Amino acid sequence: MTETIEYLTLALLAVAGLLALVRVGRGGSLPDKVLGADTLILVLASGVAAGAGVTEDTTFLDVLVVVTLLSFAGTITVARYVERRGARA
Amino acid sequence: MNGGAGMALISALVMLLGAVFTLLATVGLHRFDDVFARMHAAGKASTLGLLLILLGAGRRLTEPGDALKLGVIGVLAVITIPAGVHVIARAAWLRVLGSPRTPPSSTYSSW
Repeated sequence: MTETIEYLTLALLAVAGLLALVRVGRGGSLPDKVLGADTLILVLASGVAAGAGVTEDTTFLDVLVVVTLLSFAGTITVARYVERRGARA
Repeated sequence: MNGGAGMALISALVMLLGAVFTLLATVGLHRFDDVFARMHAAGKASTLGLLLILLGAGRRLTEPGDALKLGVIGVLAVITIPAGVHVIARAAWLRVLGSPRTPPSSTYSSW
């Protein structure tokens, strides 16, 4: 029972990552892609956290801290770029 | 108060709830029409999802230091995710309008 729920959790996160990836690819506009990439990294962090909980393996918890901070820096960098670039594209 | 099948089940259920919220956030990325509606779904639901997953994972880890690490990640996420989405919103807003002072109605509808 518990094991089934854990696998279901990881499967749902995989689908969520796929949906975010599709948004990055299809875009719509450049901020859409940035938002999609931001969400994708967040789903990735959720997946690593869920994996650490399911396997009770704490190796990747430090990675999680770094990923969270790097995604913030990356999002701000790209958003600044979009802002500078101004209209179109 | 450590371990036990019931506790593992509860933590798995909390993590499942978090995964459902994360999935709904990415579904929102596709169901909404423009950036501002999409970041409403992606920014809030996925933060809640991550926090629930961290909570569920924290129940499973036995070392106090690991749970503390998860808490640090949660605090960082609560601070950085809304800030990041806000910066995206600002960039998109300025891109649509050209300047923050222009009234939005004319450009926004055709965007």
